[in-house]
Amino acid sequence: MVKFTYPDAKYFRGIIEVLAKTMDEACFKVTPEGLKLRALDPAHVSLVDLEIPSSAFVEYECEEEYRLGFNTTMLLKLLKRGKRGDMLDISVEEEYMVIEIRGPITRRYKIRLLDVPEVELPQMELPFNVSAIVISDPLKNAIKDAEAVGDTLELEAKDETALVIRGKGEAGETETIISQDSGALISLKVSEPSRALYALDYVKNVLALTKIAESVTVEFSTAMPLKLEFSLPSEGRVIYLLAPKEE
Amino acid sequence: MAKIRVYVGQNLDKGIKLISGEAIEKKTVIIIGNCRIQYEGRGVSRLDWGERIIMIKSDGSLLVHRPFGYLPVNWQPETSTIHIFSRGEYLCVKAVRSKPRERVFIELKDIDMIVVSELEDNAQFIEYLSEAEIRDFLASHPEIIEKGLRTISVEKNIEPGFIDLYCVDEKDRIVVVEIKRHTATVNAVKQLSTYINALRREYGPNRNIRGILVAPSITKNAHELLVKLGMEYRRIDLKAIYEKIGRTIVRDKSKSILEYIE
Repeated sequence: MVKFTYPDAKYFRGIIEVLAKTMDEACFKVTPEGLKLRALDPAHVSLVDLEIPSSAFVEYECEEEYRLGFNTTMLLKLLKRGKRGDMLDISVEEEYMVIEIRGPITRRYKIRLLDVPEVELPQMELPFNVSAIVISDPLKNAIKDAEAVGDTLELEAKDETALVIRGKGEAGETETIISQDSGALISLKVSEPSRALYALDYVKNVLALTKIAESVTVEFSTAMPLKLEFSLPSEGRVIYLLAPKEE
Repeated sequence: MAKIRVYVGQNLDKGIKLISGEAIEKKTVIIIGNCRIQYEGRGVSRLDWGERIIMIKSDGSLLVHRPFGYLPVNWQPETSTIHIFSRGEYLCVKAVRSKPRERVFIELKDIDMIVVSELEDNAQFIEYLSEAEIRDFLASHPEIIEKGLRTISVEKNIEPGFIDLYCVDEKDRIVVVEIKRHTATVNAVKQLSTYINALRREYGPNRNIRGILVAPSITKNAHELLVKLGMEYRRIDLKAIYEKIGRTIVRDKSKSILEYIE
């Protein structure tokens, strides 16, 4: 028996939106401790690591580990029908995932479960030279600005005063300075000045999460992956790990 | 480097001895030589003497290739047992599959080469054109399916499911398009027929509704059923679509994240 109720369908949709942009099919690993998912995009440039403990759910029933494979676009399409404040029930009925969105009215959907192969991915303990906690909204705008001019996102931190986010492309360049003075930066630790490039096509996959999480932990080093960690409103987190782009 | 042993000329006897035992398990073996083949199972076939390439893969699949054509002339997708033994002057390869019962029997004379190898290959195969991409491409280029066709909606939700493309033809008839990335089977035909029946219930019997199944290929049974139900089939060329979409590998200049976490 697998059944869980998430307090806000709209937030859950944000999580699924990131999955849908990154991969066609995904698989929740449901355990008595909570919901987990670790998967790569088809080109293996990025990794999504999701963990929501059972305590973040209003109701949570799971006695043994269960794998719930699904088509991400299909689930997203259904969740888009939900409004803020609607409760979300997910359960399993034979070979179907049953989704119930409970608001003023209750909608019930069934989608076929898929057999999504499990890919063993190692746990990463990457050291980062820059670690910043940034308010989501300015980060979101910096990414959107960057997207307006180019295809590459450049992150740079020379010292602990500011994080610089640049968009670069053939058309031009933009720059956003996120500093402590502006109030957009909660903390910034720099053990070595760093500058790195990432493909914007991948960075923008996580924009949906900037609407859910108030702040984001941004970590990177020169020519090394970027780690974005979003804390979910009740409990739980999503980590997005992205490989660097060559100069 | 892969572990490969090649047996030719004077070495051949050694190779024959090696593959005649149990030693080929989990190995990939290639035999080039003059052979004749019998097959019994879902059908019966005979192929007389000819110079061919026989491949036994590490999982037990067996393929026999002639020196022309890209498809094997005989094959066994997975075998329950492969037995290699000498009988008189011939070396025999007997591959039996228990479900369905199928048997490929190869007799070899004049062997030219034997390769016994242990190959490592754990990479994931990625196909870059998903059904959704094909659908979206055809939605914006419905003329590829039929001249004068117009897309009304994509992924239209009707009671039994989602219609890939909901179109209207030159004569304003509704056209339901179902797209398959691989060979279309009877199930695909049934699926399309369910959608059409649902629409007929909605619009009544007077409204003319066409069904088109779009796929790179279709099975014989599926095609028969399709014709019987009054629906149509259009072949699509995935390679041409791939080229038209002009999608290069998405990775661009980005590295693989696996380089950093493994």
